[in-house]
Amino acid sequence: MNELLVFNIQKYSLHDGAGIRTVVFLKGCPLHCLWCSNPESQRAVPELIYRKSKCLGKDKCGLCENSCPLARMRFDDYGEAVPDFSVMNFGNDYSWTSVCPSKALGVSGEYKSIDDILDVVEADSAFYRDGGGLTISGGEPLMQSASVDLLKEAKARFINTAVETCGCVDTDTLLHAALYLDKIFFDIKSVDDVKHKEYTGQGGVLIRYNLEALVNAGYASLITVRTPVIPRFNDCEEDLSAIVKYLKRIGIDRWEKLTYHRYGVGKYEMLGRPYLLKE
Amino acid sequence: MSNRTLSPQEERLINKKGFDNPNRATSLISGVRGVKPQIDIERGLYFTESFKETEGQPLILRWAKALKLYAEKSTVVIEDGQLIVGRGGKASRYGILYPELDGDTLGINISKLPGRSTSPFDISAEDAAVVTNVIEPYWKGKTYHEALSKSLPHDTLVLTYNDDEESSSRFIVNETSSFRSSIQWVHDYDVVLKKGFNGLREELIDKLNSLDEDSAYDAMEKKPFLEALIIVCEAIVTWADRYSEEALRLAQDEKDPKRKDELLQISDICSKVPGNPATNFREAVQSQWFTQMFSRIEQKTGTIISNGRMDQYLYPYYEADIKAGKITPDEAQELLECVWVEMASFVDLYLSETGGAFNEGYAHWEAVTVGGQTPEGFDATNDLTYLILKSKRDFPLNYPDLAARVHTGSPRRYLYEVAKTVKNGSGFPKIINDEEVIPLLLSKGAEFEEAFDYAVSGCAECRMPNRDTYTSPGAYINFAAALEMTLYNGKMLKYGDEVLGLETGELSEFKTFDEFFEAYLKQQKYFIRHAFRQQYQINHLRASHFASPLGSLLHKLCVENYKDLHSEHIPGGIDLGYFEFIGYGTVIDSLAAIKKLVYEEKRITLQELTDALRNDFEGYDVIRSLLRNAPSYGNDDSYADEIGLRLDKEAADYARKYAKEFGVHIDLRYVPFTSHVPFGKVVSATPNGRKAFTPLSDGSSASQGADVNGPTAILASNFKTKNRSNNYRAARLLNIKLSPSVVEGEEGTEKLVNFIEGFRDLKLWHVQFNVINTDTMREAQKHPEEYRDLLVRIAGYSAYFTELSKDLQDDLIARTEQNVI
Repeated sequence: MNELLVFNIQKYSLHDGAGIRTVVFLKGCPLHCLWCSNPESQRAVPELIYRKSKCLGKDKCGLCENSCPLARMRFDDYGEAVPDFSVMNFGNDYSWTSVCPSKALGVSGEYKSIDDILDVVEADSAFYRDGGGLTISGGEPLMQSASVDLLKEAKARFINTAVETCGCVDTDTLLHAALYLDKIFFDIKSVDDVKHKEYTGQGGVLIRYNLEALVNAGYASLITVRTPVIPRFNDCEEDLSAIVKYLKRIGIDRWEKLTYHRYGVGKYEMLGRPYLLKE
Repeated sequence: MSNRTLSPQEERLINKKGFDNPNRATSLISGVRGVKPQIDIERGLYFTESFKETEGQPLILRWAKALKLYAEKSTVVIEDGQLIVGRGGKASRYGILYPELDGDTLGINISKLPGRSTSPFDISAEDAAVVTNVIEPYWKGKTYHEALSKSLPHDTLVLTYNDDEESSSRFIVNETSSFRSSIQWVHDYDVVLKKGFNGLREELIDKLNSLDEDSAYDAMEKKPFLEALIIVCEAIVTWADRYSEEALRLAQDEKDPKRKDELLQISDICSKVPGNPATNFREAVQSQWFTQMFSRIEQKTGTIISNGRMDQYLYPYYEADIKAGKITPDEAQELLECVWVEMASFVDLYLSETGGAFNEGYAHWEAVTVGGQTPEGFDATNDLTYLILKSKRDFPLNYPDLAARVHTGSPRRYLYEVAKTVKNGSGFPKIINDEEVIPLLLSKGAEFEEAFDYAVSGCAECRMPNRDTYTSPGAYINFAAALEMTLYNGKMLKYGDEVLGLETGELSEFKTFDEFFEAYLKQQKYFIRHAFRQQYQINHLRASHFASPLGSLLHKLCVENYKDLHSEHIPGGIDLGYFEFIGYGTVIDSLAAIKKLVYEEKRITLQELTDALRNDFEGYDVIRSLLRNAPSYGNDDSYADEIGLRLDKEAADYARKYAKEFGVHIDLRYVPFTSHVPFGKVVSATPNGRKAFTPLSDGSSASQGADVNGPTAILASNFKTKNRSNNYRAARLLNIKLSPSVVEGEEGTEKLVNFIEGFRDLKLWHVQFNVINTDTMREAQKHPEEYRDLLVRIAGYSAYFTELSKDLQDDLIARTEQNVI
């Protein structure tokens, strides 16, 4: 089955390439950046989400109490549900969450066929101008090998394509994907491998190797390197200039900084995980 | 809400931004800003006095004589600093009386006005006494409002008016013809600029002299018609002459040499126009303003008479003056702003609470049209187009109501300047799409050159000034009430046991969704049926209550046929009437929720549903939550959109079948003004989770906060719910909220252009953007359910504003404040 695990398809996206775009967010990432604003993208399987602010509480609702086959739902002193993520997240079937009337309980990640995805993308065809189109993002969108098929089919439908990649992927997959890409946003978060490992869970060797492979294969003109500027991690002149120096050396001239923001913090709570970045 | 004297947008602009560069408009507007409007009784009084003298004469002649009396006797006021003159009232902000409309209830309404929560007005005790003792007694028993309410059959009447002293609106099948004399209209201003009223008068005199004296028709129909038009030509010149004299008088006393000079110029110009053809830009602007202001005196047109294609008919004068070095763009802009100030001073006064509620916050739609195509079908953009757009960005009040036509050949620069203006101009201009409007006008019988030359008129209407001939205001229909009557077998909770609609059956009889849907469609059709009955009477009655000698003079077909504009039919005209579908999103979402939750998933029964609705969801949080999360219109979701398509089809098919009997087009539209608010006040809780008596959805926009897939999905839903093969349809009003982050910077402008291009290619009729401000974001913090659609757009990240925590929302608000200012 040529399906992809998608956690969101966002129309009218404006900051992920030229024009108006539809961003397909794919689930699964080899990195675990402490500042990640899409933590629901990290695990490569569907997972439980719980939006506390939407929960009606046990007094008014309580429908979820016995709905999960793996564990009984607990409620806190305010009557709001307290899902046991460590248990509830390990089934394959999340259909029990549909009992929740307010969509406080739900599942992040849904397997979708390439046709289904592209039908949604094509629905906004009227708005793809001045280079607008499809961006695949994540997570690491190239971690799912079917994403290359998605790009290939998008090009067959004459849709402009872009990727937002962390670069920590199989080199062949990346080079294969590049055949079907009009734009590559490639993250270089740091060229200090110790820091890189400490903050993202992985070193940067493969990432730089991949970036250079793209350049060597002649794709430099498609690439914009992005660096999220993160407090304590890389927000000093020294680290940033090291990145710039590196990029100059390998022949990349488009680089942009992304401002750190905390808008993803609430999502950690939604997943029952702590936000670990110390600011 | 009470005593709010500026619309929310005005307040926002004034408090937030003010003026960057103080100029003439700045000081002029200080007299308008924050001032509660006064009622000026002169128009009502002189019309009453004149009508007393002219009993029994042809109506058009009576109207002309009343205008003449007004022109001769009304107070002439020239405001300090103004360059453009011609006012209908003494106060800095004023509304005027049209007792011929609903003068029978003047006394009651006047006493209520100052304290009214929507659009309050002040009136002096002295003037109020004149209204009560002189004006109202004359009109009592004679008004159109009374005649119409007497003429309606009982079952139509109960859906139209409450059984009270004022026959106030029931807000179900709402007629709008008794709070205005005409639908929105545009005059042929060009002919005034070219010929002047003296020139037009000469032509009428020639016609008068060539009448056949032996012909009774000539004597009884044509002669009074021509005489009336001649009187109006003379009246408006008299009126302008009095301004000329007043300016001269003021100039004699003026100490400031600069102002003295200005006053002398005003005096000179008013002695020339609008009697004579305009010879330069300033004369053209003054001539046009006199004409539209006099038209406002003549009658209440729609929501104020529209300005037509200002960038077209004024352009030859502008171009010539610029070329000859007689004027600079800045000076031209100053003149335009002087007109905008005059517009801001005139407030569209609605006496009845119904009218006030329809036009809350003194809403007004005297559209100025820019852009579009020439009669030959080429792009019409010119330097004046750009100057008007610039003035909109610089001018801090939301006057004029600016409309930008777009078409596939619109230049990029034009689209960029439109987008830039949307960002800076508090949501203006609204955008009207040639690619939808023109084919529809053609299909209704227009010639290409007429269709290409249409002008936006009012909120979202479009007029062909010398071809359109239908002026009867149409019904606004509350279809959320039809839905409520389906649930309660012809009754509404607000009205207890009174059976208002059809008895389509008890809930237990609806075994399938199709059965329920059919019952709703029966109610829908029943409402339209009564709207058409109203319209039938309205068409007949209006000609005996209203005349428009000025409007007729500025319409070629009226002059050619010696017919008043309000005649039931004018040969050669195209009659484009309409009725409005109010509560579209509310009804679609309610039906989708019932289909999904009651009939497909069987999570609730109809009985449980109505228990929840009757209790306004108190104690039924689970049900309300389920309802609110059901598929909804505005998300490019076929589940909901297919229902919308069917509602649209049934309504448009009815129109196609039965409008023919009238010999006119009665088109399906979705343009509420602000009526979705008062309409909501009679409808109890609805199955889309909407609380009782809160606003219905607006126009063809999604239910408040229900569109969670972004603005492109709203457009897609609009496209997918329209029956494009049926031409018994017209405007769909669409309002879209944009967060500031979405339009930020150069890139934001570019992407707004892309969005407008997408709108254009989907052939939607109208879109207006509301770039929300931090106040709105704070509102969203308080009422997250209403603002679920607020997007936050940051690279590689997705979320909705209301899903962020409070401190992150505060952070975003702070960021927005910095960026906006």
